[in-house]
Amino acid sequence: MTDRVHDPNEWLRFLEAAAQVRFGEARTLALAEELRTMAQSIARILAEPLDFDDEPPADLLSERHSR
Amino acid sequence: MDVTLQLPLREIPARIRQRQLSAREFVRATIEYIERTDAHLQAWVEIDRDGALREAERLDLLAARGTVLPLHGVPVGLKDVIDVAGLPTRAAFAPLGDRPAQADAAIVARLRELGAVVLGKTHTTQLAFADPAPTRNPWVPDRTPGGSSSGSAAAVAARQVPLAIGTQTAGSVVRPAAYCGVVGFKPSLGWFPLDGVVPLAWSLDHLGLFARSVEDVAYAYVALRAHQRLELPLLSEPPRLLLLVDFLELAESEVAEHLQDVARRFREAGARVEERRLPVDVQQLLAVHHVIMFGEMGALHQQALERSPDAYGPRLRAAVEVGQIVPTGALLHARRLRRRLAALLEDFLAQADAALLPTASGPAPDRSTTGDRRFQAVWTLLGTPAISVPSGLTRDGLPLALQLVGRYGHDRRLLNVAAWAERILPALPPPPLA
Repeated sequence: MTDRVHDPNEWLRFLEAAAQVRFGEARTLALAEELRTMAQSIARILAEPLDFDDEPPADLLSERHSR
Repeated sequence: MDVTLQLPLREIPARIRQRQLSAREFVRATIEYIERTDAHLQAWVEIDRDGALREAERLDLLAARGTVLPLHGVPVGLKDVIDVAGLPTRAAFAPLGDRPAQADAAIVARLRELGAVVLGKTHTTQLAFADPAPTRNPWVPDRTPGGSSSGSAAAVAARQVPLAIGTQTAGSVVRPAAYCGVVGFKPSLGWFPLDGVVPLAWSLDHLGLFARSVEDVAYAYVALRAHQRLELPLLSEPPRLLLLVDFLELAESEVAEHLQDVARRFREAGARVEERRLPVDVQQLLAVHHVIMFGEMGALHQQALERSPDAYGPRLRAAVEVGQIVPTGALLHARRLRRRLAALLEDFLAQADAALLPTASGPAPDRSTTGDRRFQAVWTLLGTPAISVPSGLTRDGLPLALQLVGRYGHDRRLLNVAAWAERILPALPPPPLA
């Protein structure tokens, strides 16, 4: 997966497989469009490199409150 | 319609102070008007007639003793995801049942402290997501009023109530405001505690306000924030605005042309309006919002979906299910990106008084949907204040609106800019269903 992290098709296969296990065949079919758009969103954001030290996963709200 | 129902917000306590208006008579007239007009509009889930009249009587006694509060006698509608003690919070989701809330949400307690009269609950889409509410658009009944704060927007537009409260996790305040031709204000993220509000996605949820004018919204906002001065000072000079080309390119042609015309009017009135592009791709911002919103919704509904899958509307169920299989790594990556994007956009927005864009990509669509969230979700993600101001009508007579966006925490400045803009724009007439 690591070298194909930008590929929405790879993510779509991942999400479809997860949906099959979690919700079954019929729901996976019903979710087709939502799975496709989520795969695109995941691929798009993971294509953006981050600086692990300087960009922790802090919550924006608590950070802004602490200003 | 009784002309007093059209009074500016600040006029209601002023007239009560001068004994030209009684809170009880005003509230009674408001309820009777709602009862006459709501069968078709369907903005309200429930009116607390007895409770509202009792509270209005108490306020009249208080006024007789010389105490008049900033929102004294102002009737207010609450989106039905907000707890009001003694009334059920149904959120259009059957598993929540009809059990009355034990206590007021923080925003309701504050409204009561200011003298507002809680009239009742307005319709929401299911759990404030995207399965349409029964509410009609007061301009054209076969169009959506927008969502998720459908009833709050429609009730204010139809002159049923001068002030209503909604929530926004993507575009649920400013978009329905735009579709219904009223002012909708989503202040900065965290501007008011969300205690007693049914969550949708906890890190994105905001409370927001609906009223008929920027002046009314500003008056209520300033009172709620307990600022000492209830007047917003006028801008000393016309504002500097960044017209966001990215959104003009995504908008329907009539909307884009309209906003260019609005920008021309603003320039003629002395504003500096510069066409600019965002420093980041809009699609990137929307992807981050999408992953966070669905991921948080999935987590929130982990148990409820197991228990009651059939209680979910199709859109909500799909979003929750997809949210439950979003990889944790992607959700954390999205949160980290959100911080970076917020910092980038903070610098961008600091270059002017506000950014200017259409509130929505087009006018209200049909009632099978609540509309396009792309133009609003970006600002919800970033937590910046955003306000929708009616700016005209389409050739088919549907409202159009501009959106102004300010820097995080600069909410009052944004209201100043919006008040300036509103003075340049033609006032909309009341909608046909008012």
